[in-house]
Amino acid sequence: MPDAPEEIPSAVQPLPVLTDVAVEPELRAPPGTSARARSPWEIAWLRFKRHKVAIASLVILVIITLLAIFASVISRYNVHTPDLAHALEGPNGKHWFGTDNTGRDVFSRVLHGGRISLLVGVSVALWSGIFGTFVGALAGFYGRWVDQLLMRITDLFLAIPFLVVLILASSLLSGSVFEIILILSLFFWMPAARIIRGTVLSLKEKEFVEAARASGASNARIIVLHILPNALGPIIVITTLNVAAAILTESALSFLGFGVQPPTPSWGNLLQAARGFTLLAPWMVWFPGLFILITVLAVNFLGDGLRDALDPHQELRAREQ
Amino acid sequence: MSEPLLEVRDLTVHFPTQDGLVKAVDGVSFTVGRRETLGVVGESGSGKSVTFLTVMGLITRKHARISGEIIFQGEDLLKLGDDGLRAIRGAKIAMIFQDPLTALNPVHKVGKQITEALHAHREVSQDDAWAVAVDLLRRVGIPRPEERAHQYPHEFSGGMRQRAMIAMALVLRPDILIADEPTTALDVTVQAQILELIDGLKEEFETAVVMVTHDLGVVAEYADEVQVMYAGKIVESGTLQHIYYGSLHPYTWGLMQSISRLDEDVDRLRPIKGSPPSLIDVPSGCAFYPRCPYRFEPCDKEIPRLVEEEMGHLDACYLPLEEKKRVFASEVATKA
Repeated sequence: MPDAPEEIPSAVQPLPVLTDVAVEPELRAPPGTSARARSPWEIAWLRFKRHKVAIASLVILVIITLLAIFASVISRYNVHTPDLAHALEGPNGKHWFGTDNTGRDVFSRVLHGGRISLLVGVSVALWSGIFGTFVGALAGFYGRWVDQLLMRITDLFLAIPFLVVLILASSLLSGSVFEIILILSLFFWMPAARIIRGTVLSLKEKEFVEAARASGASNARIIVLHILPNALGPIIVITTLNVAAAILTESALSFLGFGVQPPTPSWGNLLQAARGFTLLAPWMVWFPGLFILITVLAVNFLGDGLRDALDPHQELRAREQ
Repeated sequence: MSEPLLEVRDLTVHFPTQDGLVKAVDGVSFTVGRRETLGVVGESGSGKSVTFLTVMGLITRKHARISGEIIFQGEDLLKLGDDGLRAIRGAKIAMIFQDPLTALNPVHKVGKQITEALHAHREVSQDDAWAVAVDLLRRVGIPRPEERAHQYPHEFSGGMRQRAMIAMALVLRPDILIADEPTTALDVTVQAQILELIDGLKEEFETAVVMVTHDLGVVAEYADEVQVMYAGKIVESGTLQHIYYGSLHPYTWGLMQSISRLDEDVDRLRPIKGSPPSLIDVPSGCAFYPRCPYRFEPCDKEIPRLVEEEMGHLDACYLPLEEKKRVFASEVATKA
């Protein structure tokens, strides 16, 4: 639609002609294109779309997630019902991933295991992301003794050999999924806290923070509305990468027998269960292992893509090195 | 003269650093009258910005050793707590920053940022705030404000961002608008527009303006009162007339002689020799004496006091008044 002749807004008071409106050249969108403002998020999405591997990873993750969510619809077999007549069958038309030593369908168990593993991975990443952001933002913004205190606590948590603590703790606990999430979250927030602290440290020196303060904004308002939105890039990236790390850690714990307890399947304890049958029924190892591998790889690629899209400076730096 | 809006008495701001005490502001006193424009002139590091950041409460006792009084509407701002200061910032005293490129938050729409002070001080609905933002953008001369309010800062040019910053500062009709080098980061062509705009809005919003700048030309155009700062002290202050047609301090002379002017044929500018002193080791006596071509016996001994030489015209220099008038008339007025 062609623009009607523009009405020049009346200036504050009669001023010399040169100075009554901003006379800088106006960029007009060509007809047919939208002149809508492009937010920084749209720009990031455009950058992300160029990252083919990340897009592919995103698709794979969506598929795996859907498989896990609709596991009971997709697979006809109950995860818990043994079928000894068909024990240790290789992959075939009825049991796509074969059966385990008690005749349970491996496909069904892997999908249901995915529910637990993904739930643990995403929950741990979210909780540790939220907590890490909270700690990092406070430390970075307030500085001084708040920073010292919070960062020394962070160092302390980093210094604890957490696998040992996890193993000790899980012997006291029941091994429910909720507990696993809680314990893992307790040991996953530190890198996020450190990264967010650094980001906030540099952001709080920006002039727009000073300008917000000069407008009378409170500290809470400045942190929530002016600093954290600018730190969302690193927050999203670290949270994504934490999903992969949490899935791996949960698998390792479950494999060692300290994580999610059977009969509830998780990718880790499926591997644990398969240990005695590595040669006899290798499919029991392959499929949970493959799913762990693909998921973790895809999450990591996704994280890389997000970092390139949300934090382009870092990409440049990486290329220079 | 009516009662001043803002009165600063003997303000001192010292920053303790590892290298020593930085005396950024050292015993500064001045007043800002209602609806007047005060021009504050000085080189980088003369303490002009620090003075007004302290007035805004953006430099506090957490950062520096501060003494003196900042009386605004009968209250000493230095005695107010965080909450008391916050109630004044943005509502009664607002500030425009030097670099509009970095003073706007990249993740928020311009229309949203303009009403920051509104949200910080009042309970307003989003729709009302948006209407205010659009209205202000129109008043600061942004074309198509309804559309522009939806855009992000990176879609604005430098001049338009500074206009948006001005709108942001004026949201609550402050009594004092502090403009800290509002045009330094802008193109020369845009500078004049922005200054005209501030001057026009000053009348419309009935606000006093403090124009912090290193550009005497800016001051000449818009200020009612002028104060010249050097090494954390005011060395000369008076009305625009006093400073332009009868400046008494050698440092002000130096500033005037180092301006290029288009309407006069000057072969070479005459810069002030040397550089401003370190604020850690301020020279004893007059801080300007090492660079002063008129220095004489007492200058390095004792700090000259700011004295009223004429009605409302103060300066801090040991030269006899007659001598200063003679030098100004024979050397500065003719050549600058």
